[in-house]
Amino acid sequence: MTDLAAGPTVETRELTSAVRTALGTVTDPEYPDISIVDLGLVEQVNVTPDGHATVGLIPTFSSCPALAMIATDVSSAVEVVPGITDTSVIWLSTPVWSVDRTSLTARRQLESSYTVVLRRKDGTLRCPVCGSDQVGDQSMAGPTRCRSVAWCETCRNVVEVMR
Amino acid sequence: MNEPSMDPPLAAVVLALADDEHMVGARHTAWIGLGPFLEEDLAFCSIAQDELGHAIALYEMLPAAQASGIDAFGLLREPSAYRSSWLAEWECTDWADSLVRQWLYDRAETLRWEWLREMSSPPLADLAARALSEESFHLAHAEHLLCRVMPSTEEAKRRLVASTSRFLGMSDNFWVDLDLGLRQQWEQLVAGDLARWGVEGTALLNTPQVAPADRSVRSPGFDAFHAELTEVVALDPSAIW
Repeated sequence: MTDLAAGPTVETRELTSAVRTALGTVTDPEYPDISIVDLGLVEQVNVTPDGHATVGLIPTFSSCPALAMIATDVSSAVEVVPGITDTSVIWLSTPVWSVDRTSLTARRQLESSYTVVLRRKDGTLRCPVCGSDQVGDQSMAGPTRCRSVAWCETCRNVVEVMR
Repeated sequence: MNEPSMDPPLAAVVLALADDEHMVGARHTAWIGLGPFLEEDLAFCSIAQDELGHAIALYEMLPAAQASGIDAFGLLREPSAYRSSWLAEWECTDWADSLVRQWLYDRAETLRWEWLREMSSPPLADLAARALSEESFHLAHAEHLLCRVMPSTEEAKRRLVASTSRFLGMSDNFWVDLDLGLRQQWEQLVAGDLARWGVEGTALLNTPQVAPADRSVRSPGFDAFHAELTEVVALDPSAIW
């Protein structure tokens, strides 16, 4: 965090922006067409005048088995940005990821490509297949740690809930 | 993000929790593909994944583990150098035992994380806060099952109470490294859970202790378990994965 306190120059601002653009091309191995930026995993991007980039990420779950893969993908994407000489990727303990960090783009992709929904603020669910509100929780344990299982009463489809 | 050094008494508590998370997480994985029904299979898999993830995160904060690398530290120490509890290490070949151990362990683990969140500073305190946000699922899992299974049949109750008694007989071993206040809180939570499920807990909480009040003494079965955990790495300790 202290590194961020140094006032950015025009050059570092432009480099930081280029790094952010590169991060937009990194996807989550669990959802191979959704960017980690849209999923809310990117917390900090810092670039020093000599081209050292530090990317601070937050995991959806601290035990996510994809963390090492995501870190490698981030390094690979950032290293090739012109002007970047060196890249560090760090996993931050805080803040804690929540579904509120996901973008509208990610939510739409989750629904259309994966029939995965996020819970509304009031705790209710909307079926990504038919749009019905008649969706009930079935099991806390889903196919992965980050998803639970629900069931749409209207179209009778299984719906997964990202949590 | 690692602390360059850690106060030795705090490091001892972190090591005990890290080893507990490692052992209980590895034990939970025994149910992958074998759970009594699909949701249980998935639930134990997810809980195991959390505990192993927490073990890694805790090992990463320990100067001793940083020095040797966390894989070597986590897997290749001498048995007497581990500080895991008998509760975490115990082999549960019956799902009733595994479920009861998961409940008792997660009740205790939550108190240990709360203690760390209050007694340490970032990044350890941040890790504790994050872990606590993930632990609620574990307690909900135990509650949802035990509140239904415990009062279901006489046989279910008999077996679950026997399991509870066995693991409560390891309480001295589990709590030996922390102040008594936490153990008292745990016993109150356990008694409250039992009462809600229709079981009188007072006699159970007075179960004679079968495990030594010493975390440097490994449980029966540890050597075989450790051999299983290290079976692959032992083939070539220098291999890169």
